[in-house]
Amino acid sequence: MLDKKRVLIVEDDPIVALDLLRILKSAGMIVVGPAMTVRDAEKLARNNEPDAAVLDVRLEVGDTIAFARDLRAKGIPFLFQTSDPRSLDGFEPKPVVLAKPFSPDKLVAAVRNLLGIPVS
Amino acid sequence: MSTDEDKPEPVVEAAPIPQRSSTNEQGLSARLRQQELLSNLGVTALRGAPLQELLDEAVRTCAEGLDAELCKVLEFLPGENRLLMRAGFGWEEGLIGVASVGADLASPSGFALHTGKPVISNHLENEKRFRTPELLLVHGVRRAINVILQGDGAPYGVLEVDSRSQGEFTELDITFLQGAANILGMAIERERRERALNSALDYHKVLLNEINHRVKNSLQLVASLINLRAATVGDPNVTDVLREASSRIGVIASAHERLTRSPDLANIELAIYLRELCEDLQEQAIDCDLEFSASEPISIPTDRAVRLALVLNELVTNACKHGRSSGGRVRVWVNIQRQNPDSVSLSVRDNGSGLPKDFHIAEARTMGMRVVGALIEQLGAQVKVLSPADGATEFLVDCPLQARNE
Repeated sequence: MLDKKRVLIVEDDPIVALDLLRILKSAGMIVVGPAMTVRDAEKLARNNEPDAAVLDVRLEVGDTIAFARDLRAKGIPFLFQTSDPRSLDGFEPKPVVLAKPFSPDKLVAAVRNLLGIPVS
Repeated sequence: MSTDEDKPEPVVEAAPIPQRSSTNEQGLSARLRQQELLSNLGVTALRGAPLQELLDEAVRTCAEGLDAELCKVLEFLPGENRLLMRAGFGWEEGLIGVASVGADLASPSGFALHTGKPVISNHLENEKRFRTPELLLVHGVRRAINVILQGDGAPYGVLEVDSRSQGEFTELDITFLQGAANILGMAIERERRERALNSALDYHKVLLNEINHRVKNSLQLVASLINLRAATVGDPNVTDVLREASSRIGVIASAHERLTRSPDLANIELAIYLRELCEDLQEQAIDCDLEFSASEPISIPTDRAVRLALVLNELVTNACKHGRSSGGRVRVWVNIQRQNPDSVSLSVRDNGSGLPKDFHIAEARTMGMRVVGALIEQLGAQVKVLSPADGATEFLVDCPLQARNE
């Protein structure tokens, strides 16, 4: 497959991270990460030039809000997947938000949408 | 609040105390006027007026009742050991919320606050028991009367009436002022309780949000574990079964999500909830056309709604699966409507590639259908399997809105 897209995952729960990794891989994407901390995410984003990112909001330490703003400034599309969608109420312009628990199909559809891949 | 038994001894300057009124008749009419003022203040308090409004009326009332020019409510600030003017009558502008006096035992207000004893100082220029606060000296106050303001809990502060004129405050004046202070005490206590209730409510909202967050994280973890197993198990049938199990978790989670956004935790809007479920199912079943319709909003206890949603999930998944195996494009119509005031009917109908002819729900062997059977029984619902047109199948579930008492 030509031009595989690179998707950065930030998720601090290892099981959920593994699930995300598998879902996106089987949808034909290259996964960058998963990063479990914002610092790792920043490093990975610098070194791997992802085409899109899937972000958990609340991490063990801190959150990904500032990191998401950086991505937005760099023009890298992202979505949040969170069990507390209201924690993003102040985020403007409104980001793409997937409520946890997500369904694998919904996640793939949403990431494809970020990457501008038409629905097959 | 003081009662007759524990009424503190007032601290009054040395006798003799001449009566302010020259005749008994005058004295009587002054007392009657005081009673009227107190009763008006009581009405304002009972009406539940905001505390500041009540304090403002109280200082006017007390100055008038004691025929004095100045009155104030002082709130005790324990951290600074000072008494801050919260409301005032007769003072120049800019003092309320700003001016304060010491709350130590050497000040008359501080003494009243700490001992609970009313204090009368009729000759501040000769006062030896107490230090006269700067605020009173500056305003030419010659005599002052202080009573404690207290609800059920810690003292709130002091109610004080001051006068620049010659004359005497008497023990009868204390009775009047203490009456006003008692009314304020009740109102202050009510406000304290309201504030405590509101902060408890806020705390619980935060807690509830946190619990919701954790519940959904846990559901995500379970769904991910099942997804991972589904991907590695190797047997496509088992993979399908596990995917279905994962989607059932989604059904429960979405009810949970709806609930956290709803002001009513006990009930849920069934039509909206099931519509969202159908939208989710449609995304997962690309080769099925799913149509949802509902006649009207139907409020139903949440636990019943979740069970009905699981029934719907099974029936729709089943219809799509059977349709797929028979090759044609599957169409599924879902309809809910209120049968009568006490029950709702849920219909799931397909376009003909549905169930085998001799299907019987009670004898169904598949896990999905056994789940449906168990849920239907738990709901006290009835299910009918109809064949409206060639080969088509319609499941008609008639479900009471409320659990029936056994």
